[in-house]
Amino acid sequence: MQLHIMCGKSPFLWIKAILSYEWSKVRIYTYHEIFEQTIRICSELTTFSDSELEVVAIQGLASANSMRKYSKEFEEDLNQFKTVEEDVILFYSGTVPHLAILVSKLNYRSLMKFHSGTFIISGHIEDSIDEYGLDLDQFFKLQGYILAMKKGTTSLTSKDTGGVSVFKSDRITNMELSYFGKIQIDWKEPKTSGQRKKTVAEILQLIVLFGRHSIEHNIDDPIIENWLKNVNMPFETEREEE
Amino acid sequence: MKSLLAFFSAPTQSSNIVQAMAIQSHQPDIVVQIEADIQGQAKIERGGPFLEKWLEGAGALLDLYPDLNQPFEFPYTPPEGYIPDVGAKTPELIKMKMGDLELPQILENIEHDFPEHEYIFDLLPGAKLLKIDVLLHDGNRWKQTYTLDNGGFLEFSREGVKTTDGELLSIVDRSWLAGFPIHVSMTIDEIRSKQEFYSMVMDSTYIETFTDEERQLMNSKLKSFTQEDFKIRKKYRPISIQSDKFVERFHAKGGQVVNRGPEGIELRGTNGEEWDIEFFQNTVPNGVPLELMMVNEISKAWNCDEVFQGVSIIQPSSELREASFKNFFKKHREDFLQHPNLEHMTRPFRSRCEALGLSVDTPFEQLISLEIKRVGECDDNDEKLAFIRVCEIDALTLDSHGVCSFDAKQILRKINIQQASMQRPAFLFNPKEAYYFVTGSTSHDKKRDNQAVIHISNLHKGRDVFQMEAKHEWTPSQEDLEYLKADWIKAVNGILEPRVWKWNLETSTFGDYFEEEIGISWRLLSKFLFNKQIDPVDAILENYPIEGHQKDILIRVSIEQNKCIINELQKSVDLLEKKLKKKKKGESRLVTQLQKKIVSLENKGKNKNDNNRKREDIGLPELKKRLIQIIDEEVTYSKFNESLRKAGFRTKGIQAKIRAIAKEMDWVFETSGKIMIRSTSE
Repeated sequence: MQLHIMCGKSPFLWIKAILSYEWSKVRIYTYHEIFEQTIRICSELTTFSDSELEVVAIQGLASANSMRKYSKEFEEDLNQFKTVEEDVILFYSGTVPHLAILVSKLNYRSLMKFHSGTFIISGHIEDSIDEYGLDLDQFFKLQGYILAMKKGTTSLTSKDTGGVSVFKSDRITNMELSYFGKIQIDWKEPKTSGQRKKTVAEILQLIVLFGRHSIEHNIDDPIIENWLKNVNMPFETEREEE
Repeated sequence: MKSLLAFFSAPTQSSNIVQAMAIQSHQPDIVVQIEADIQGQAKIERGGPFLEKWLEGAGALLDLYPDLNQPFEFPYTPPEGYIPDVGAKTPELIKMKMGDLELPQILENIEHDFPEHEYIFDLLPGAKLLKIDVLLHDGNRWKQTYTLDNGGFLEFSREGVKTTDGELLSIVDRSWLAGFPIHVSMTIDEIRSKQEFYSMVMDSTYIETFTDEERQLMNSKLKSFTQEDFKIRKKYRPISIQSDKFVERFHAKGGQVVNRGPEGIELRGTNGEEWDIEFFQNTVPNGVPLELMMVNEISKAWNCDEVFQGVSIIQPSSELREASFKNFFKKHREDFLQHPNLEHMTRPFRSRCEALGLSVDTPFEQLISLEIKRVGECDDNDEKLAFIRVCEIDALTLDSHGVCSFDAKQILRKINIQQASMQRPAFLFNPKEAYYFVTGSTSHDKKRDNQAVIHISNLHKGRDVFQMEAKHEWTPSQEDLEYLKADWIKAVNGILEPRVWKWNLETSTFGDYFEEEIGISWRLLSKFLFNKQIDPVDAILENYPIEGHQKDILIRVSIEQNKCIINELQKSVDLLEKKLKKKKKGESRLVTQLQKKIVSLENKGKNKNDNNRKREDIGLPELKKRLIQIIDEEVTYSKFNESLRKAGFRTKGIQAKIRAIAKEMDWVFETSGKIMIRSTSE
């Protein structure tokens, strides 16, 4: 069986999808904004998997492009490919229009989704595959980071920075991977506004490193919770000038 | 044929919005909501039949908000509700539970219950896992569509993607559908009615240079500013309506400045438009003028379906509004108590107490209840909204890219862009990254996140602005360039004036000097005026008609500058050496670098002195020959000296030599006056 994947900003599930089966071939559709990250992960993946990996660059939905225009361009991008064979499975990631165009244009007949620890294939092929047991260390390693949790301090170092820490916090109490492919982080409850600000700054740091969609933050603080849901402004409005 | 629209109904905050978008766009006769729980999605607690009421109309939707007059009456912009095609009816809404049924079974049931319809399944954004069966469904009777943000939809089929136009769902309705009252200050039509006027104001704006008043204001703040802060402050300047040159340019374009003072300005346009602008709001520079100019530029060039200026998303319930009001008041009181000597910290609480006619010592609960009553009775919309809103957004737009927010900041100095972007209601935005900061400064700090920053002067390009590498940098107009050139010439004249030049720690280089005088970074000024990066002194030598004696002044000032730099470097070296001695670690790389720099600067200074030294002493026969040529001619002493220097002679000690020859030849020699050498004394 072959696996085709449309990359999203959170790589966790598609990494698992690749590692969970010995696919004869894997095609990864990726785009400019995450191209480097995709290549880095693919290069790391070769140490875990024997599947042949093909990376295909497609248009990203950039600020200058509307969904209407983008859909046309994406469809044209796909003209270079033939209708897929019956043994090809499309993993269900990316946006809804991406998937609808891929399915209608290249005639994917089998789709794979992830549900409670199992990859379920429906359509022409009906099957289920147990998930690969990826742990936090491997997950970060695949993205070029080394995780260390010692004496209450959580830190991440990057190969690119020659071992210099890119993130450090003493406010994290637990970190694990959730079923839904997200990093779940439990934070200490902030007792003062200074601690709250520090927590927010660290959350922002992680967003810069891993994007908005890869992490779920659990914190017993209604102000930060609301801020995370984007429905409240916990901090004083910034002044135009000092 | 009648049409039937089906979609999954997810229990998320934004699902009402996307469903209403699909209904408004497709205009079906029947809507089938297939209710499903979505794995991994938290249900929203606050709910209400928002979609059903929206279909009934604006009034019915507003009835779901019975406490809109609590804790006081406040302004809001009502929704429009569903807008059916002319002659069409409101669709019938049918809810269906998914339960244990598979999707093909559900679709078959729908076909059975509603035969002879055009069947549409809209995929809507989000909740992807549910849609796998829809995508694989072979039934040719169902169209698969995806509703677009500004109306219309994509239709997917083997033949390709087809686009159909349709009605959009207003941003205002979206907010009410998500459970939040909303108020907008200006719509696109209101903005466009004053387009010419706002454009004229914008085209007249010019650099506000750093003033002593600003220095005093900075010194009155809690934060203590370093010399580097002041240096930065002098080159990152607002391009605004406060400078004299703004007035000059506004007049030249036909506008009138009716009134102008340190607190504000009153403008009148060519068609009688009036704008009374206060420069400050509680000691903080007023951001509204930039906001309106920004919105005007967007409404001209961004091809938006909707543009709203001054958007307040309001707390959804009376309890939350009251809590928010109390929190702000409490914060003002704390500022007042904690910083009694800082005007901008004490003023908000003090002025609220003054407005109530009460002492600042009045019990807090009493103040709160009276303040709620006072604000409820006042006529100022902004005052009513300021403390009960979830957030305020300078501008919201809706176009084929979805809803975007724009925040106008004259200078992006301390704002955390990433953090600010999260302080927006997520339910309105898809994609979440659609936020932009518009700056109106001469020199945007490059360290800031430039992805989301656009300079106001580039907004006229519309979305093509995203193709620009330096979209965050000022693009001056031709008129701006002429003003910049004139400012630069004036600043060069200032250098070349014969006076004692004193460099200081804040203005220690030519670059600092020009940045301070003109109010822009030297990097950008050099790019704008000379189309390249050039040293400030070289720029003068290449582009200014410098005269001989001015060259001397320039050299002298340059040497002074180098001395100042050397002093500064020496201080740094001394400091480092002290530290190094303490640590006993020997000479650091930095010290070596600094010492090298000192040597190189000293050499540079030496070279400049060498230029002088290369001149030869003039011999007496040569000098006599030259003096004979100017006897009784109108040649001053300084002109004669200049001619000697030009000819490559040193002029040091020249007076003594001339005196000796004049004595020998019985001439009269005068260092002042028009004729330096006279043949006989009169």
